[in-house]
Amino acid sequence: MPRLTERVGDYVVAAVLFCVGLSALITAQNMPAGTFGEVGPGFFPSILGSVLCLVSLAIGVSNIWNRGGRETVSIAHRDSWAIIGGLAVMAVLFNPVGALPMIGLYVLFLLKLLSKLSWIMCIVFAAATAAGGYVIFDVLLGIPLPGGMFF
Amino acid sequence: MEAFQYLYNGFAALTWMNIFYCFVGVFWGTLVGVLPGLGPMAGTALLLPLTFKMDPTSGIIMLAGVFYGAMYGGSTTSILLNMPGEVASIMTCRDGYQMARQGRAGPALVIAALGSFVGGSLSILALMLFAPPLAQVMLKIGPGEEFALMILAMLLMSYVSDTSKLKTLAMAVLGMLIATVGMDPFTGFMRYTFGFPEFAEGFGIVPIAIGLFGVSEIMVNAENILSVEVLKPTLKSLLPKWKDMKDSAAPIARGSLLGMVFGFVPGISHVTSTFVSYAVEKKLAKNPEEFGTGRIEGVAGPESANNATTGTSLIPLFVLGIPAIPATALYLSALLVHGINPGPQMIQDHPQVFWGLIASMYIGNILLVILNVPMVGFFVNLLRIPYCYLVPAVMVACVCGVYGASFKPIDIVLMAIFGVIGYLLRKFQFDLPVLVMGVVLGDRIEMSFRRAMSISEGELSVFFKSSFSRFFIIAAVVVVALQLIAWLLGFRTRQGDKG
Repeated sequence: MPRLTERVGDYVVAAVLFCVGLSALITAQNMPAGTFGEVGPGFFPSILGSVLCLVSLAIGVSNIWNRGGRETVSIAHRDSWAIIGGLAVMAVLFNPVGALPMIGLYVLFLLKLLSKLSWIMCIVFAAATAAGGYVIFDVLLGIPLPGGMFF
Repeated sequence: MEAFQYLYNGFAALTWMNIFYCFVGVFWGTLVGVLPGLGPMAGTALLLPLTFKMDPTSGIIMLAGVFYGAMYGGSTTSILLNMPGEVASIMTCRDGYQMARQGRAGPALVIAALGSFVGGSLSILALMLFAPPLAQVMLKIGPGEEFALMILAMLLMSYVSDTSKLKTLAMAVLGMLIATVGMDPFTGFMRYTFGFPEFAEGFGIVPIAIGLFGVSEIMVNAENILSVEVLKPTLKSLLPKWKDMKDSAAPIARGSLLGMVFGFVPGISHVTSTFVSYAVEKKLAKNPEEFGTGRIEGVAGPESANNATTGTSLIPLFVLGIPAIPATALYLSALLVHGINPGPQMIQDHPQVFWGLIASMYIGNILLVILNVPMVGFFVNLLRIPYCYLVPAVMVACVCGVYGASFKPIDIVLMAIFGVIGYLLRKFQFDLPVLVMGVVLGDRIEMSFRRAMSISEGELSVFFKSSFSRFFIIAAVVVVALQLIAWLLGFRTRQGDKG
C-alpha cells in the first residue's frame, strides 16, 4: 500500500492549493472587478485566489522548518478507493439505468468487497437494501428516484 | 418573565409531528453517537436533505436533536468499548471504561446520562434567557459591522483550531472560494461555472457536507474494519449508589457551567469543554492520581460539559447569524433554504422557529434520558452489527439524500469528489469543519462587504465608523497578532533547540 510521510503530504496538498488559488486568480481576471464604490464579481475571487496562493506558499515554507511530520500516512487503501470508484460509476449511470438497479448493484459490489458473505447472501442483502432504500426515500419521504430504462 | 411566556407559547405550538421529528433527530443522533465512524456532522449532513421538504421549525428541531443526541450517545461506546463514538467523548473513555472493566458500567452510563441531562437543560435555559436580549442589541448592526464580525468569526475559528493555523486558514479561504462558484447575485455574472448550467446556483451545501463528512469517514473507516468486543451491562446493574450520586453532583454542576461558557466561543467548544472539565476535576480531587482508574467524577464532569454547549452554541447563530460550531453551519443552511435568515431579526420575525426549537430541546433531553438509560442494551446490541453491513446502508442514504436535495445526478459526482478531498485532507490534518464554515459564510461575507462599500460609495472607513465594527476589527487584529506571536515564539524555540 503506497504511503507518504505527513511532511511530503503537506507539500503535495500545499502545491495543489497553490494551483487552485492561482487558477482562481487567473480566471477571475476575466471577470469585471468593478470599483470600490461598486465592487464587481471578480473582486472577491481575485482576493481569495491571491490569499490562497500566499497561505499555501506559507504552508510549504513553514514545512521546511517543521522538523515533525515524519510519520507515514497511507492514502491508497484498496477498499477506500474501490468505494469511491463504485460511487462514481453509480453517479454516471444513476439516471439512465435507474436508481433501484444501480443501488442494488452498488450494494452488491460493496458487500463482495468488504464482507465474506456468499454470493447468494450478498444478492439477497443487496436486493433488500435497494428495496428498503426505495421504500424509505421514494414512497415514504416522497423523493422521486429516477426510474431509468427498466421502470 | 417574557421569555417564559414565549416558551409557554413554544410548548403550545409544539405539534405531535414536531415531537415526532424531535424523536427522530435524537434517536438518529444517539445512533451516530454510539456507532464509531459516524460523527454528529455526518449524521446531521445525512438528514439535511430531508429537512428541505419539511416546515422550517420541524427541520431545525430534527437537526438540533441529532447534535445533542450524538453528545449523549457518544458516552455509551466510550464507557463500554473504550472507543469514543464522537470526539467530544474522548475524555469519558479514561474513567468510564475503567469503571466498566470493574463491573460498574451501569453507574457510569446513568451518571453520564444524568450529567448530560442537567448540562443540556441548563444550556437551553441560558439560550432562552440570553439570545432574545442580545438579538435586540445586534439589530443595530449594518453590513459593515456584519462583514467585520464574520471575518472575526473565521479568524477565531482558525485560532481555536487544534490543527496548524495556516492549514486552518487555507481551509477557510478555500471554503469561501468554493462559495463564489455560480451566478453573482448582484450582477448575474457566471463565476467558475465553466459553461455548466448545473453550477449556476453554485455548489449545494448537501453534496459538500455529505462528501466531506459522510463519504470521507466511510473511506477512512474502510481501511480498518474491526469487530469489537462489547461489555454489556444488565438492567439491574444500572442503578448508581448514593455515593456515586454524591460524588457526581459537584462535577456535574462545574461541567455544566464550563460547557455553557465554552458554548459561546466559536470553534470546537463541545470538545474543548470536556478537556477543561476533566482537568478541573483532576485538579480539585483529593487524590488526582486515581483519575484514569475509574473515578466517577471523570465521567460526570466531561459528559455534563459537552451537553452544556449544545444550547449556548446556538446563541451566536440566532443572535449574529454566525455558526459557532460546525454542526450549526448545517442548521444555517437548512434555515436559508426556507428563506429564513438566521440573525438578530430571526427571533422577531420567526418566533415559532426559535421558541419551538427551545421547547423541543427540553422534550428532546427527556427523551434522551429514556433512550440512553433503559434502552442502553438496544444500542449496545447495534454495536455488534459488523461495519461491512453498515457501509452499504450509509452509502445508500448518502446517495439518495444528495439526489433528493436537488434531483441532479451531478451532485452525486460532486459528493464523490468532496469525499476524496475530505479523505485526503483528513489524512494530512486539515480542518474540514472550517472548510464547510467557509462555504456557508462565504456568500454572506462577500455580500456584506459589497453592500457596505456600495452604501459608503467606496469609503473603507465604513468598517471603522460604528463602535461595534471598531470592536470587531480590533478583536480581529488581536487574534491575528496572537497567532503571529505564538508562531514567532514557536519558531524561536525551534531555532533555540537547534543551537
